Amino acid sequence: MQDERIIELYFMRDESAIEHTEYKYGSFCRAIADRILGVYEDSEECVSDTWLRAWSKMPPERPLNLKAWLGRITRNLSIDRWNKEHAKKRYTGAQVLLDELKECVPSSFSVEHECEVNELSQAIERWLKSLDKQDRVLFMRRYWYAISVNDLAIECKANAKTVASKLYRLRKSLKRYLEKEGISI
Amino acid sequence: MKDKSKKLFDGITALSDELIEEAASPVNIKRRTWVKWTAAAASVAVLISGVLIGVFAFKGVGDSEAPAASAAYTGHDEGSVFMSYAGPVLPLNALNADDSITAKRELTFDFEPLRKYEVTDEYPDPKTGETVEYSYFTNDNASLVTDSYVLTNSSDKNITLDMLYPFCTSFSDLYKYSPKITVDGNAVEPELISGGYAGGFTGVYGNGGRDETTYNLEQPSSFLEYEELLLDGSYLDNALKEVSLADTPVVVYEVVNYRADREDKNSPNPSIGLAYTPGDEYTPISYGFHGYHGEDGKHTQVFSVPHEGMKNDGMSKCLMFIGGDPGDVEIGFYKTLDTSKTNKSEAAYGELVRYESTLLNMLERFTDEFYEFKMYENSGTEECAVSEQMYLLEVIRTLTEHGVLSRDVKDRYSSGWLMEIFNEVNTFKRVLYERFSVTVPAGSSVRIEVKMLKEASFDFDCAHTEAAGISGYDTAVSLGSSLNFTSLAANIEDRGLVEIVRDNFGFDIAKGIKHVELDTGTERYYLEVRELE
Repeated sequence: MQDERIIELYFMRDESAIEHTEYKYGSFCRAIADRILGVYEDSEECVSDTWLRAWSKMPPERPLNLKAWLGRITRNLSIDRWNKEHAKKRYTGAQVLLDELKECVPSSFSVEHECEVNELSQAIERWLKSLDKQDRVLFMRRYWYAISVNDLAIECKANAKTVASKLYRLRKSLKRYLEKEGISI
Repeated sequence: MKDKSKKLFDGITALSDELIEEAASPVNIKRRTWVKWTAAAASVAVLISGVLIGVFAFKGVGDSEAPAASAAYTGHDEGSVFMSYAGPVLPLNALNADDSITAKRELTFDFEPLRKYEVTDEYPDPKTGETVEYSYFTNDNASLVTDSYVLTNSSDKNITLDMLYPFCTSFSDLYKYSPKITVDGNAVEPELISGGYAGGFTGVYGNGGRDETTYNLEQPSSFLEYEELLLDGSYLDNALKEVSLADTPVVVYEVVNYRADREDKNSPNPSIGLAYTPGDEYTPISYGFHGYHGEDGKHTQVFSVPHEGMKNDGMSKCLMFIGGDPGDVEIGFYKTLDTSKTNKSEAAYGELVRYESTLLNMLERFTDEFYEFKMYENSGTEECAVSEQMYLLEVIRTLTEHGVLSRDVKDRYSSGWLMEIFNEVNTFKRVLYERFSVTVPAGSSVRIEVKMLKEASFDFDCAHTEAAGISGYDTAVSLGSSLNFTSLAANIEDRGLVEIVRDNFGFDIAKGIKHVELDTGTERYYLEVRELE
């Protein structure tokens, strides 16, 4: 079913909207949650919560890109779960991702003000658009889709160390960019 | 810091639909494209270690962040790829880095070693027998690098750091390129730690060739390869890990009192072989043998009897079996290395002795002997920069990671001839570490200065490549280091001896720009120079 039709079902408060969403985007959202959390039951709960969140947000929201919109919800729910539970459970995926992202945090001595998430997102977007497509997609697949370095290596037909090396350079480049922009986190 | 990572995570979550859609499908990573030729003849399948045969033509680059380089050549927007790559100058590291410590780094490339000096030598005239003296001018294709650090402790307590200074070389060149370290002007006596072989293995026809064998060494040949080697810390972890060998029993067949009669110096060397029935239950491993022959269900390992007075005259000749004993080992004497029945000789002599030992005992004995017979060849002196113990451990590491004791036996070492490993451990490119401790007083700083001769990367003149005559020096800014570098600067002392062909430091000798402040976020700085006439 086309996304517009699924959204229409939400607006009509037709519960089959969730069924169609699950059918079309279940595996996509499950993969994101699973890569971040790595614990099957928790990932499943995040995906179920994603459908509930979608149900409560539409209407009034009408996403232009349903897939990306759902993916964002899943990411948010997964990282929230990590935030609440990581002291009790070992969520390897999120742990590694956050450790890597730590390297992008700009040094505080060069900043002018602490930015909001939206401002930070816009800066990251500008930086991403300055990259060539290969680097941009690689960064997004690692840090938005949360695909592991080993899996990226397989899909990129490169060895894992090459991928890790490129991601390392990208993290350093982002850090440098944020510092130049005077952004503090 | 976790909150900050989380905020970055959230910032990434909020990226636009457009970027998310674009990244829905993967793209292949474009690798640097290499054109490389190697000696293709099967007869040279096993290249002598340390001699690289190849031409590398550089076609593309991947780092969009690299600053534009001075355009001496077309087709380059970062450093050249050299046929002989010396590895980068690597940054100081601390095993127990502390957030309160920051590091300022300053590098100096001094080209005084390129100044030519006169060498006088002598040789006996073959006709008259008189000693003839001659002299020539030479220099070192190297730069004297000073790699200085100021470590500052912003906390209110003294902090003692477990420091490592990594550098790229081989055991055979260590005596030339070993760094000298001072802390606040006082020399330290660091502990030397060796990493394993830094390269890989490739087929008879080279990387990307027609076979997937592992007969040839593929020594690391680019900055990227060192980056891949050191980035995840596993190479260092491995270097710090204790190398051990299980107390493996071996059955030893040793040829003793061997010798050969020769009619004259031009007659072929007679050989001695040990024949045995091969079996799955035992693994042959030998020292001093260098030939192999299979006939009538028997395998024969053979060695050429050295001339009296040859360097290897008197070296041990041991065939060992791990896991069992074939029980039918026989000694045979041959006119040449051909061990067929029709080639038997009565001009070679030797006795076969059987005994039992452990592999470790035997390796210790061979290392001792190897040092006595071979190591002085390194530097022309009997002094060696690497201890016997370190050498032994690296032989064991190679044997267990790549040799017949490995789960992934490389074709190169599948014969079980230990002498190949003993020789190549000496010339493997590797990263070594000088380890020392430093206490940075509360609210104060210490200055660590590393001085070393850094060999250049280069192309062989005979290859007539674009980079012939150019010497390259790479620097890694923070690769593999856990220190927090807050500033980076570099200097060049050209001494009127070099011109810069290409660099991303920003030096300009003609304009007097010999000191530059650099970006700690750029991982690689390269400098390529040419000697002035």
